[in-house]
Amino acid sequence: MRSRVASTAVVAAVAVLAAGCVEDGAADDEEATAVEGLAGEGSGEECTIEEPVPVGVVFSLTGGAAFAGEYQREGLELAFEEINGKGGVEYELVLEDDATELEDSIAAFEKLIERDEVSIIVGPTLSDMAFSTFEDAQQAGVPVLGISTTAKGIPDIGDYVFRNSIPEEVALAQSLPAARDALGLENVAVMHDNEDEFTSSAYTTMTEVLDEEGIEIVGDETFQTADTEFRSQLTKIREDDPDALVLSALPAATVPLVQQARELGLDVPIVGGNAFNSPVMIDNLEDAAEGLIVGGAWSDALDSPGNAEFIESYTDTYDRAPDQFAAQAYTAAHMIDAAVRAGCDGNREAIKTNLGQLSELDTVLGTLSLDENGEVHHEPVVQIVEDGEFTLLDG
Amino acid sequence: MFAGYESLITTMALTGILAFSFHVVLMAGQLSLGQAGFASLGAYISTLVVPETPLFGGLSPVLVGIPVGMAVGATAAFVLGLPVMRLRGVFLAIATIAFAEVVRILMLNAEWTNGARGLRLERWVTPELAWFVLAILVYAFWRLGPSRIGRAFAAVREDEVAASSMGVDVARTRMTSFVASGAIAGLYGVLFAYFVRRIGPSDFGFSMMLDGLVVAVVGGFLVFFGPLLGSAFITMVPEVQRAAGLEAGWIHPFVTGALLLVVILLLPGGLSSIAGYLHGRLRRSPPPAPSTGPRAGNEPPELPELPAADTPVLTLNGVGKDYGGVHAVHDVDLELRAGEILGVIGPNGAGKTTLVNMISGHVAPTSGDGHVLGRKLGAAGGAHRVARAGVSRTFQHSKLFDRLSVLENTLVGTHLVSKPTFVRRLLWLPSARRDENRAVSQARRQVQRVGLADREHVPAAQLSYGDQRRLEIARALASHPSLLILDEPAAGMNRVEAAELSELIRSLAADGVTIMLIEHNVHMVLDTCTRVVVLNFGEVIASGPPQVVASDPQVIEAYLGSDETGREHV
Amino acid sequence: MLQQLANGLFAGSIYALFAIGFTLVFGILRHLNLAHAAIFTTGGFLSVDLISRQGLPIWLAFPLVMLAGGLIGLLLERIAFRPLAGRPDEHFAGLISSVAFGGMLIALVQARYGTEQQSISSEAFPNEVYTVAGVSISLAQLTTLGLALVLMLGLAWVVAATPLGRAMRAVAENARAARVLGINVERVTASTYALSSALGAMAGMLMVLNVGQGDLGMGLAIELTGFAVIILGGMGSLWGAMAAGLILGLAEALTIHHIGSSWKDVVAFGLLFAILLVRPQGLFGTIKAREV
Repeated sequence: MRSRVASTAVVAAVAVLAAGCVEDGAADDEEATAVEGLAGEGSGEECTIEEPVPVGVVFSLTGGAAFAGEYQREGLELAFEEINGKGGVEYELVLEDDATELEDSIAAFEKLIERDEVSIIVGPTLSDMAFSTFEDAQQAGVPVLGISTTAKGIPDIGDYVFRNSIPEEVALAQSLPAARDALGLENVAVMHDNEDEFTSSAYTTMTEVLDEEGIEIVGDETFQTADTEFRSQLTKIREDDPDALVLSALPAATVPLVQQARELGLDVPIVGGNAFNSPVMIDNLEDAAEGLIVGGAWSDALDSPGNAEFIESYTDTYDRAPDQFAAQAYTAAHMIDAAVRAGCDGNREAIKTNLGQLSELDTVLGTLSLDENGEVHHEPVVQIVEDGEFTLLDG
Repeated sequence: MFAGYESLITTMALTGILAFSFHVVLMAGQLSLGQAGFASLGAYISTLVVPETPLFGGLSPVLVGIPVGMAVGATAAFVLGLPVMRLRGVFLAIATIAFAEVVRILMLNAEWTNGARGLRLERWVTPELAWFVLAILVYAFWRLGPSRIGRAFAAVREDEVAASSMGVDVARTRMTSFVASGAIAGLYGVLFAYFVRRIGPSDFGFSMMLDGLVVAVVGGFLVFFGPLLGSAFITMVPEVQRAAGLEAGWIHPFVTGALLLVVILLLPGGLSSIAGYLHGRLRRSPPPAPSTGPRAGNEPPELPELPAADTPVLTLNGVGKDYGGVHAVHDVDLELRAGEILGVIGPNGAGKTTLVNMISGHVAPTSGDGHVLGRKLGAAGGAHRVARAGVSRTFQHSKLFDRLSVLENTLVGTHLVSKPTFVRRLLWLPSARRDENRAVSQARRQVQRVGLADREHVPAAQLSYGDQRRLEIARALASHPSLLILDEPAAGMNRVEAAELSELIRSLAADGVTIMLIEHNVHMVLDTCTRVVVLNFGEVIASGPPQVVASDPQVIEAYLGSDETGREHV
Repeated sequence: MLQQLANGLFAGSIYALFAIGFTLVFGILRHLNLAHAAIFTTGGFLSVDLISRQGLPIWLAFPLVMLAGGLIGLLLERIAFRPLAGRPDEHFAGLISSVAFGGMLIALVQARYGTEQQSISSEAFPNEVYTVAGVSISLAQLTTLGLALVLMLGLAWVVAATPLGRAMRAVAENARAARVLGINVERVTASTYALSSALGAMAGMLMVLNVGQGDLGMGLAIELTGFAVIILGGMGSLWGAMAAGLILGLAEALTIHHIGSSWKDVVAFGLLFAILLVRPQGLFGTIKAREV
């Protein structure tokens, strides 16, 4: 018996050693071998590349984040259709749905990187997924372009990681002072969804910015992502009597929250970040949307190059107005195209190098650059809802 | 070979591991659904101990986290299990779901977990490690099935009351499956976290529970490799859909749902039942189970001595059972000695079965006291303690383990006379095989005794009514009882069968087993028993040798009946 | 304070309406129908479709949504539960088949309506707010409470006073005996699901009315609260579900007010736990929690 236990123990130990080996730290970043057919001749508008450049796309087309994913897909597909129409370079999209599930996102990235061998990946929709999948892409040497991943720290993951969605800090750093100047705010109440990664990190930023601007926080309430009843919290805030309500929430919660606030007689201005920037939401809110102040990356009122055409073309194709998600996706396509044409090379390394050097590009988001960290820079917009429409607030 | 599919196959292995944590409780028939909570606790707490760099230069740091995660999960399951132990079915399900939700909210609001933003981790889980762990689980469950505790799980799943009457400690068995589930879930949590590179409380929510449950049920919880099949199925369905060219979007969840529905509707027992079906088709005769090969059945079991003749086996003094005003049993005095065959007769509703339930420990008396084989009636502990004292019984309405075979049913009966074998089976120790063979030989003997030897492998649900009664007797005999209580065993039997049963009973008594026989077949009772007791309206109205009782006028009036000529109908 | 109580009461009425469909199926048939949440969501989206897109008046939309819900319930019973009747794994398999059905339903809803949040315009249903004793109450809330009460009382009447209701109670007690007595158990089962789903769909519509919009995830949130309600009120007890829904709504409002929103679910589940341990049949229930 004892010898049997002993020998089993030895076998087990050997097996564990065999199965448990890992490499220390991150594997050496692979340098993908360049594909010949993806390197072309000429440059810029004259560039021609023989083979179609494969572009991988991972969005949340079903599940909790689908409200964003669909817009993203539409914006991206629209842009690439236009770009393919120009000729010289053809882009082939490989689209995957990660169903708002982390494991699916990882699997989708693996498929695109290893089996489909794409040159670049756009997405995923949620920062949550990005933190894991971007690591994989970084280690595999595949450039990634996040278009809605606004959480702190994303570009720091590595030199293959880029994003074109301005982080919440930047949007808020613009909208809060603008609101304060326009409305003369001295104290505010803050409400945020503390169950969601995005909104709770935005909340941290909000409180920091409010502090810097010298605005006092007189009420601080939380709620959960799936909540639809906010009257209890709003009643408390009503008692705190703030000058404005600063909100960090996803669109699903925003509509009932704003409506209930108005019903309870809480008529103060409401200020929000990226997640508010949705025409559908404004429509659903109807009158209650009046006076909403929204900071974000894009506005349909923005006089940026190509914006009017983009809005018209999108509305024609999809029977609805685009939102910020669509605009950022649309821009991403143009950024990729610019990078590919700059070196006239659709290989991973080339795209990575050229994206990193993208500077002063004219897009529907405005004039845009990527810094050496992969972070985006462009003017954020501050909007106020007037007569049911987004108008720019000059602050 | 798997280059480019590593994440996919790791996910497949991890899903299988999660499914095993459901499999182990479903095996025992419990709908315990708190695994997401155990996984969450296991994952978060393991982050406190897992080092940042590989051990000894090459070993995955997760190896430190695994035992911690398992211990945390097991402990949490134990703590949760104590209060919810008495819940069953949907109530247990909801209570455990509620627990998982509470854990999620606590983790969300705790400081050290970083709340909704979660924790970032390195990927320390390789496909090899994940599959290694899964392989160990598959191995363990393979060895579990034919072991004593594996049978106990199955028995508790099929019929708790019958299981406890065969000496299985139902509460402890359920708790064991609970704790095992917690350990495996904790293990999953750790591996999951160090694969996806992060933990956030929202990862361990309702949808994780649904995923695990679906995989476990679809794969099948009656066979040890069910979770493996289920996980392969669930992981491959999206890939297959992609390969078939289905566009990304709503079509995928629709098709997945449809496939699930089809599998569940067509395959009772899940995907693993296909394997059983194929196995059955490929062989002409039913296969012997691993430990029941041709050689098994020769080794004699070590059985304790039965009480010597005339030793008091059962004493009842004024025992009664009231159900809120209804006297089911009233003031019954009874004495039974070793070697006797006592018949208990009386009209329906006379309280016979209630009396038996009190003796076997399923119901406590409300008045009076009694002892059976040294154990006080109504003492704490339940029916399995009484069984351990040497009492065995059959039921008025057959309580068989429907999905188990004749032999397997009887094997459960050997619970009290066989030794635990699971741990030794893991190590393939020969002594485990010997003990299993002993149990099988004991079971086989009883099966032969009741005449079911040629139907050893038939599932109990497929037997004829008469055979089912006989199987119950075989099972009851397998525990080598000192006192065997038979509750209407001859119901549905014809004259010939009843005579055979009579013969069997007499031979058992000759071997030293004390028998208490409740029957409506008065002829058989008078033929077989050494003494008869008559109950009417919960009271004893006659007691004595069979012929004396049969001619007692009170008995005739109450039960036997007479025509105008005054002759009794017997 | 009064406002908080009012808030809780109105919120509770939707919980109650959702739970009552749930508990009906469990009480009569012992099935846990995990597709109920999906039917709830479908009801919400259908109501938007009928009112905002087809332009139907709201009083017409109510019965139509209920009818649709009922039809879906019949389909659900036929596809996901009836084929399993009598099988030894009936209860476990029923969970999975109802989950699968629910998933398919949501996928179809997404296919038809897309992924955006939907809402009913204020032309169709006015956004009136009344103030009584310092408490603000919206027309939507009043409508919800009113309709919920009417429906719940209606259901209670059906169960207590109609032949169908008697048949349902018979089946709940002992399906085999009911069949022997000539009750068409299949029809009773189908009717139970139809009723339950009609109520669930209606609850979805009222939710959209109240909240201002519906989205694909609305079912998940209410499902868990629904569990708490039916346990608290007692599985199978209609009055229990009603009372527990309102009680839970109140408890949540008070928790948010005094402690904080994150803990409201903990309070709900804490109550659930306590009830399960102390009085498993719930406040009003009669079904034994231990099926020994």
